[in-house]
Amino acid sequence: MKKRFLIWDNPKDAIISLTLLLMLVGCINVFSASFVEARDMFEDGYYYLKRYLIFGAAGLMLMLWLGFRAPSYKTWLNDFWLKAIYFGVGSLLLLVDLIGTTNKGAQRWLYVGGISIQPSELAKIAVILLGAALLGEMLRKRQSISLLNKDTVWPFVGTVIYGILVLKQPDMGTAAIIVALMVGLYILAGLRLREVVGLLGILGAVAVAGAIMAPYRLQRVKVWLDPWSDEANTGYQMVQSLMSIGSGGLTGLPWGQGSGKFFYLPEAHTDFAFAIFCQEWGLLGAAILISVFLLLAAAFFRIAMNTKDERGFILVSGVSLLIVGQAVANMAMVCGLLPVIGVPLSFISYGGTSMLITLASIGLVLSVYRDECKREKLERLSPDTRRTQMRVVSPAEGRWQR
Amino acid sequence: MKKFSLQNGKKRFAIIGLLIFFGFGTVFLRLIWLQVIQNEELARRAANQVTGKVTKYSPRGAILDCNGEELAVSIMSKSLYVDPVEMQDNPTKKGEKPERDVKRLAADLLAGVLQMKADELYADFTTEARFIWLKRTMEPKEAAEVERIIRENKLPGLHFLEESKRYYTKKSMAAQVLGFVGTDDNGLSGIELALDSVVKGAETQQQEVVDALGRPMGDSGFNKARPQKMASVYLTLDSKIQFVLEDALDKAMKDTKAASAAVILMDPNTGAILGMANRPSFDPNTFYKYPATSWTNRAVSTIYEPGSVFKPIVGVMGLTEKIITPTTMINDTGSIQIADRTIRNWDGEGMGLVPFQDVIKFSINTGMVQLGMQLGAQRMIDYSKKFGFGSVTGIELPGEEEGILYNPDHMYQPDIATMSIGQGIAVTPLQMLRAICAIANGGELLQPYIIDKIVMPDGRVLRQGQKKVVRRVMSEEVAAQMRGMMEKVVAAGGGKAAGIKGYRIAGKTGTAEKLAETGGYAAGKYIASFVGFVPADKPQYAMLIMLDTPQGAFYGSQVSAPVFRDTLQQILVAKGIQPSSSEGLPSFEQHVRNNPAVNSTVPPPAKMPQMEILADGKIKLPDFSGLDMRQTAELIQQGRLVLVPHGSGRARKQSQPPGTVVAEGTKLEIWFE
Repeated sequence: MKKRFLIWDNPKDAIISLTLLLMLVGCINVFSASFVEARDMFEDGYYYLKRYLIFGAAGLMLMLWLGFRAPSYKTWLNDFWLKAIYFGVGSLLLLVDLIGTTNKGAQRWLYVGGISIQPSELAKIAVILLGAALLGEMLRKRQSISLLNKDTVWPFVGTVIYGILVLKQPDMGTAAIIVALMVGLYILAGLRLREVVGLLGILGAVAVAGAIMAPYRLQRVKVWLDPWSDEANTGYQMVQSLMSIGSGGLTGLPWGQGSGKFFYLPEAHTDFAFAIFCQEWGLLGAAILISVFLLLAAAFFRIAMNTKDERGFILVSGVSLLIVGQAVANMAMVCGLLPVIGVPLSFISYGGTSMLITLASIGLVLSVYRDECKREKLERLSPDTRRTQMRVVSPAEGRWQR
Repeated sequence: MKKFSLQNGKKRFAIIGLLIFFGFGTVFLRLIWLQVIQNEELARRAANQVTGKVTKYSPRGAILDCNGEELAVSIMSKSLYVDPVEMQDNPTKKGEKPERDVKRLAADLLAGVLQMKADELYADFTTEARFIWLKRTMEPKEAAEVERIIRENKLPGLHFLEESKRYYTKKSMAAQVLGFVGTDDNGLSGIELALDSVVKGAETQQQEVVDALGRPMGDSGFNKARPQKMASVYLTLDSKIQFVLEDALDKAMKDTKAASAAVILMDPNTGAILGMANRPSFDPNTFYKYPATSWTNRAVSTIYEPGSVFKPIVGVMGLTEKIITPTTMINDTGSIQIADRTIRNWDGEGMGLVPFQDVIKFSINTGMVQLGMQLGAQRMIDYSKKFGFGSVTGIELPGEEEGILYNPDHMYQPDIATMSIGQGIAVTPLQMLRAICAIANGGELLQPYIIDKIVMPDGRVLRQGQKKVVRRVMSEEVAAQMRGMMEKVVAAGGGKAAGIKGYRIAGKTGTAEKLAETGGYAAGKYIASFVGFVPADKPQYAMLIMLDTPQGAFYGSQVSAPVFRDTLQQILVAKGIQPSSSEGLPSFEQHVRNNPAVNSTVPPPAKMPQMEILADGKIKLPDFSGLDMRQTAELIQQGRLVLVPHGSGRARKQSQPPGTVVAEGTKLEIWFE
């Protein structure tokens, strides 16, 4: 495989440096977007910045460990780990519904030793691992994948259970992402197109039915199309977001001086952090940020395209969908293109658990790349030496395979 | 059907990737629409919503004494108000806890901090009004506590406004001069009233950037408009002198049980008021807790019959009109009959043939009446007007009285007679003192003033108080003659009690029957006063002390003159004014000459002791022994203490032993030998 990736020696370096760049931008923006609220709530303007840095450091260590030191990603896809992860996260989700911490009308957090974790974020990576293990295996076996076949529907069912638990919190946004993520993986693994169309059809029908049954949903659609029509109430957040973005102009306001975060724009440092970013960095800043996400996507794409392992492919494309797919969804929502459901913008939105799992999932991508490099190296060698190399180079792997 | 392979998956991924790419493209186009095409419109809307009218209050200007010591200062403090309509939680969203009774909760939580009854608060919260003050100008600690409660419980509808709160740093000192300020920063009396427009905190409406809760974006760098600072008023008052006066009045009130009292200390050469105190008094920090009568600045707002204190003025009339000279012989018969009235000396005794200077010296009524009758009504009234009686002095204090003068056309003979002994004329203490100051300074009637300067925050002096001569009311010669006579009053006459060893003091006592509020005189009620200046030959301080209705002893010579002595003794020492004669006061050189042993063995101390000012502002007393009076006074001044000296020479004993820790302003008695 061609190693060079644009200005980087290889996609791995590209991913690491782009990730660090995003984290830098993220902590600057999170600080700017949160210091007013933090000062008001915690009497410490640096409250969120500090947490961002702590979670960022922990996440980076996790990423590097998974990418370079930990056993191959395949380890986590074996029967034991998969079950452990799936049921572990599942019970955390159940726990949240039972004893979770309520904030802004929803139970989303668990407090463990002074740290709040958001299990619905963990569900995202669990779903990717589930997809990679089961769908990847089906893809390798060239199984015909259908949601109507009980042999191939399991990953979907498992995800829907997650979705229901998350929906109970209630967190419709994350529930939708989790299920959509799995559907995406199904599509990549070869879900028949007519089933895809069918799913979309069902979704549309449910949406229409919902709108007819509850008029307030229709109102939401109306507000989405024209937030200015209900500027003070249901359209408030959208209008504030648009004003924040719009007032940024081409080059943005001086850093820290965007007005949105002064309690005007709700969720200024979380789901709507992109609006604050646009206000303070302008169209130029936004273009650069989008480019960084695109470059990251391209690097993921390169790795996905080069991998010969079906499970690795599903894993990398799942992570791509998670990070870049969420990014485009978040941006589209913040600037009013899509109706708003709670989708974070990785690294730019504040969220400790989200950052941890994002960095961990990038670590898994790096792990896939590491395995690919190893495989290529072996392929280049003569068949004779290959066998000895296999033993000498990765004894640990051998042990896991036993 | 062809089996789906990894390659097919990758193709699908490429398509999804393309979709994502187009997604970003759409976002970018949308951003161009918002940030370039709609930029102006959206920026205008954003700017509109963050622009709020904010009322800025600047703290009221400070009032300071002539040395820049703060007497009244203002700081911005928070006032709490409630908007009862806002005081409810947002309609319950699904999944949220049931609505709480915010009003009840807030009332219960705040009652303790605000020291109000919870039910009263609750009553306020349940009205239809949109703005109710709960507590104004709160102490910073209190406000912080309330803020914490509001934040922790997310109580809606409670807001703060910044208001200026006045602090009178020296409590009741010079209370009537300073006056006080009401809750809306309105000066209600004294200097606060007179200069209200100058010191009043500015209230400026400013367009300001505010957050979504209507608060200015304080420390964020948006906030360019800072409240302006107000002018500071420097008074001619000297805190140290004022302190001595206040202290002396406290003592006098205790000793004499007088109904009220006033004292004024003036610089006779400039007209500057150096001290002005009144009793009863009040603490302007909590003026509302005191009866309104205690707010009166009696020094300028009460009128009384001066009695004998007025005699030097009449004497000056006689000298100027050349009716008499100090040596003109006058026959004192003990009593004198004018028409249907008999006027007696205080003791009814006659001294026979005496020179006029003794008439003043012993305050002989019969002599004064003889002079008055020769002057006649017209001249007496004209001169009185010239001396400033019957019209306000124009000092910058509110509520000044004009006093009452006869219409000369309506004066009967007995009226002329009584006016010549200071009755039948009503004056304010300040009018009286300023007339005496004209004698002290060589004949110029001055406009008294109490505002030294008004300084703008940028250092510009808005107004500078200065000596202003109203008119010359007597020749230098006449003034000198009258000073001589008044000096004799203290040296050997009726004002002996005012004497301070070593200093030449001129003065005049006075005891007048008090005017009853119903008209006529109040039986058994007297106003005892003393007016004087020091040093008699080159006056630096002139002082008037007036005690209204002292119990027991009521003669000015008995009750008022000692106040003069006690206060000026401290002031003279504190100000380092040297005794004019060393009679009975051996100087250091003499002392050494006379006691060679002193020179060789004991003092002066090897090292000049120091006042040790501790961290908390308290002072540790050194050992004063061996120091002369000047060195002692210097030290005492460093520590802002009050020195009560006894004797003269070198310090031998001090009332509090060395090492005692005392507060600023403590009285320290030192015995000199």
